[in-house]
Amino acid sequence: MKKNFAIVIFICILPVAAFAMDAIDDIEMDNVTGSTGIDIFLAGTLEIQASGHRLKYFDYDGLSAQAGTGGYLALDSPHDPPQDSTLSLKLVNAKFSIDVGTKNSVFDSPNADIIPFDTSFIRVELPVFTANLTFNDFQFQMEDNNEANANTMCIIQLTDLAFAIEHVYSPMYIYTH
Amino acid sequence: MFKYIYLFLIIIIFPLCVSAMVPMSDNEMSTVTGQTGISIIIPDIDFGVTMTRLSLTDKDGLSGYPNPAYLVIDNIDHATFGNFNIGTKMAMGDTVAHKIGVDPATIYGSGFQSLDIDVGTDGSGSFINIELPKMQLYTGDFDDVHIRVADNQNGDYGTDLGYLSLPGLYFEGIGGNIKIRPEDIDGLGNNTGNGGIDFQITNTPFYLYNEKLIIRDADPMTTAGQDALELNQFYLHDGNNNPFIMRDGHFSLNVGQQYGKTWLKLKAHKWEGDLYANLGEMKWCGTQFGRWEIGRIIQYPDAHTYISGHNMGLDLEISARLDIENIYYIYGNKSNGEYNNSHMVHAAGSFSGTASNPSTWSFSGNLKIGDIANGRPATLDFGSNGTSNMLAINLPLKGALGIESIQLGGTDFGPVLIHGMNIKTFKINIPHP
Repeated sequence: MKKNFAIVIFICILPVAAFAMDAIDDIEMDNVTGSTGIDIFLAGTLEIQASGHRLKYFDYDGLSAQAGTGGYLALDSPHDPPQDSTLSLKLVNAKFSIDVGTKNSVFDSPNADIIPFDTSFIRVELPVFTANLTFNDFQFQMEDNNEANANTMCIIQLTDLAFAIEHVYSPMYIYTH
Repeated sequence: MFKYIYLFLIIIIFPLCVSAMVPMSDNEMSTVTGQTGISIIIPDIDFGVTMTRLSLTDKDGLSGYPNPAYLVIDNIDHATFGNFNIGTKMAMGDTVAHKIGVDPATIYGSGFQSLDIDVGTDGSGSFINIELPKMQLYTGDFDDVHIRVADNQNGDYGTDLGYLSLPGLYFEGIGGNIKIRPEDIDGLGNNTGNGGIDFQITNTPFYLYNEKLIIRDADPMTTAGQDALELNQFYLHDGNNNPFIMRDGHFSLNVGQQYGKTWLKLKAHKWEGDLYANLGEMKWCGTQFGRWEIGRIIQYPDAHTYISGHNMGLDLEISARLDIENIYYIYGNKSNGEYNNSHMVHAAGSFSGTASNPSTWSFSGNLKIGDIANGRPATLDFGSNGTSNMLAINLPLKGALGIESIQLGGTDFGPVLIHGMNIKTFKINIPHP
């Protein structure tokens, strides 16, 4: 508990440190280059969870372009009361790097050859992670524009579903064109 | 208690950060424009998807047999799909071009290609414009997936259908363009913006290649190596082993009410491209018995699929018109006439002409599997008659099928024609009770 408390206090105090900084002027800004970046190390485990039991797509004017003839494509819990499905994203001892720079020479990374010269870019090294999905029963059904008269196609259950970025071999680059 | 202290600290300290920001002036804001788009160089990654069991059920069973059953697919541990971005993989020699004996340099070119995303407006309204990257997706591990029909979601008291392995399915995209916009529902080129999604795919080359598909008998008493059908080295191409190019594809997705219920409608307004399919090897119980060459497959405009449910179970209509120039089954040396061929195959809604003279044949409309306008959709249900679990499929069929020339051993046996088909019920139970 004390460890967690210390982490939270540290996180809370970090933004306060920004008040001790002096504003950077335009001349100083001209000297800033993209030669350095940020590495974010996560020591321990970060887990994010999202839950829900209903997903619907609504088409207002349906197949005949007339109001009132639309319908819903729905994924819904068949249980009463509804049971949530949960997506858990887990990062363990993860490293996440971000650099901003301008291309002014040929890169070592062949992936980045196509970035035009004098173009600024963001370079992101993704962490490996695992996302687990606890997937309760879902019924896949069509509903009319009043969300009634459901026609169910089937009930789906997925057990121990997980997604993971297992290896990252090269960075991602983002730039404008 | 600590929880409340954390919350309090976060609430009082975080908003202070905002006060450190300086408002942006109108002058500065005026320099910000929306003229540019974003480019992303996709990283090389291994992306895995795993699960241990997938089950589908139909809780009201079959007509006359109200006992439910479950289609259960399990033992999918480590079913991994992965590796975006063909860059490094090409360098490693692990591409479809390498596998089918084509020079990779002529197919993929040199250098990489970014994923470019823009938002624009043309005469039909606003759209998202996507220039596709070079990329490769493949299944790395998908072996011995167990398929059965069972009493419950855990697969208990199941009837085995077989085992499926798909250890090397590759998809490679080599650029191209996709435009996504609200569906042009009025048919006049105007976006109504009231629902529905419209996709236009132009000049988009891609390979689809499968190294092995193995369907294995589930009976443990069958001798190993004598229990499988193998369909190997399947791929789509343009007729010259180059990637298939979707020159001009136009597809839409809508949800709405028709014929008394709500449907999901997928429509292929247009699909232009020279599509060929090869199957390099077939094996039955370890013995090779030939290969297939199919093409050119011509898809006519305005094909569609309707999908909905009945109380429980799938309702479906597939409507399309196809021509296939040749379907070769080659069991030896093709140049020595060791093949059977169906030349100029037509699948359509109706036929006119003289049956015995293919030069007079004329086809129109779409062949239909399922006929929802007349209350006869194709259906898929899972159920049990109390002693056996089964999949129950009904495939009503309406339309015409014609083959201008059937060639057996290289010798022409003439035309075959079936027209005026209206099969109202065509039921298949798997396994048969």
